Amino acid sequence: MTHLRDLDDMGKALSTYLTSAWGRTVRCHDLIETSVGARRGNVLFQATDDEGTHDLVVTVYPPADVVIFGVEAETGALRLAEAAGAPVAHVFEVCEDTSWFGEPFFISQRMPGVSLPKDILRLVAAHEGLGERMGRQVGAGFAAIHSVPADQCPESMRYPLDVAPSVQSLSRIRESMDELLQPAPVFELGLRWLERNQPDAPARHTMVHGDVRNGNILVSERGLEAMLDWEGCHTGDPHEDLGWVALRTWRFGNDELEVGGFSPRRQMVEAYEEGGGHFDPHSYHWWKVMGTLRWGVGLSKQSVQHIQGTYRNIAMAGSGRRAVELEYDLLRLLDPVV
Amino acid sequence: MQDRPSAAELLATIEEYFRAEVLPNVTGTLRYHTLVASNMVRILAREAEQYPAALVAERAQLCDLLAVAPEVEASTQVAVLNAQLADQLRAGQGDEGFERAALDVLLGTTLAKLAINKPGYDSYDMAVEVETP
Repeated sequence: MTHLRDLDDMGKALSTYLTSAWGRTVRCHDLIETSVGARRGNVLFQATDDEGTHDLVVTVYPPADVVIFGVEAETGALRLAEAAGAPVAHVFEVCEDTSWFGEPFFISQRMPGVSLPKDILRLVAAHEGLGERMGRQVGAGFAAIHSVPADQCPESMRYPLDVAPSVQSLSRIRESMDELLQPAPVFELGLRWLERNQPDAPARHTMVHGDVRNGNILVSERGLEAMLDWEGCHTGDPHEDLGWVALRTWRFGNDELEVGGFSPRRQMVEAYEEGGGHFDPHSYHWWKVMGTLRWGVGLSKQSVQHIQGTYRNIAMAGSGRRAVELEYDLLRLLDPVV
Repeated sequence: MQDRPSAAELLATIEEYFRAEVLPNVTGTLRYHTLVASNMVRILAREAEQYPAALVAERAQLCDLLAVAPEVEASTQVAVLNAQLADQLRAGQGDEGFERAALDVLLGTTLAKLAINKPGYDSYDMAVEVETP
């Protein structure tokens, strides 16, 4: 991905691209690279044409081998979510031509707000009622996303519609666990519980964002501005999203506030149901256990990539020693029921 | 006999260097990675202190759970026993009583690992949010 010294070149390339795409002279300037530590690059910039100045973001994909579904699926999902009323950035341009920046990219509206978990929690602490409002907005946003039936989603992000999402998820996590470098009895115990306690299949498979959490949302003092990072959007059980946002690991120390460390569960669920979503407590709990297992295995797998040299990076190495946090959360979730 | 500074003193020195000299002068990804590195040094210091005893305790609990006799070398045996436990859980061998006992053992091991990797993380037990299906 681009580095600071390349931002001038990138500005020129964006000017050329948008001038051609919009059919009028566009000058791109004031580029700022964000996404510290992330593998896909987000660069904020301004585009000035004869109508004025627009605040935009260009998202450049990481190399193809780490992409989940691709730019067409992600922007397709974004546009469906926007049409359904979810808080997302409007997509202006999608480009699969890799000659511009080495990988495909898309250009979207730049939304206001902060996205780093610590910044979000600081904002919440400074504004009374903000966290609970965000909890309701997250619930309403999920209701909008989940109103999109699976068969309307881009084909490349569709999982099989005739197999229960819980069954598909169990087989994917088993594959991941088989790639770990050490025996993982805690994860195995979690998987046993998940196998034995599978929820009923959802009434219908829907669009699922898959990674809404504190850290993947934009928040201002007004509340939730946007749900970010749709690259892993797929089809499945809506409870996957509800459980994932409520993992302890996304609370960053605010353990008592189940949703992202900023809101109790109740606000999210009430708004979800008011927006037409169906909430089932057992499914929710099951997907929370699954999410905890999945992220624990995910952290372990990051360190595998480091150790095996496919992605050598100190933060990835550190993840291996963070997996135990998820193991603890997992055992606590199982504790009264095993 | 090794000379001073001791291993623990060297680790403390590296940690101090990251905190006092590097961190105030770096931003962005470099700052993030320095924080990670500094945390790793603290993990190593705690591990040097706690791991030998934790390993022996873990071995004793696993031997008890799996009904095998302790052997001389704890670290090798702990790896073997963990693999055996993982296989047994995966195969669904053993009743719910066994899984309950396994959970107790694994919680003990997990707490010991947390005390090295992330002290204090166990102060929240999630009781309020657990649904009984």
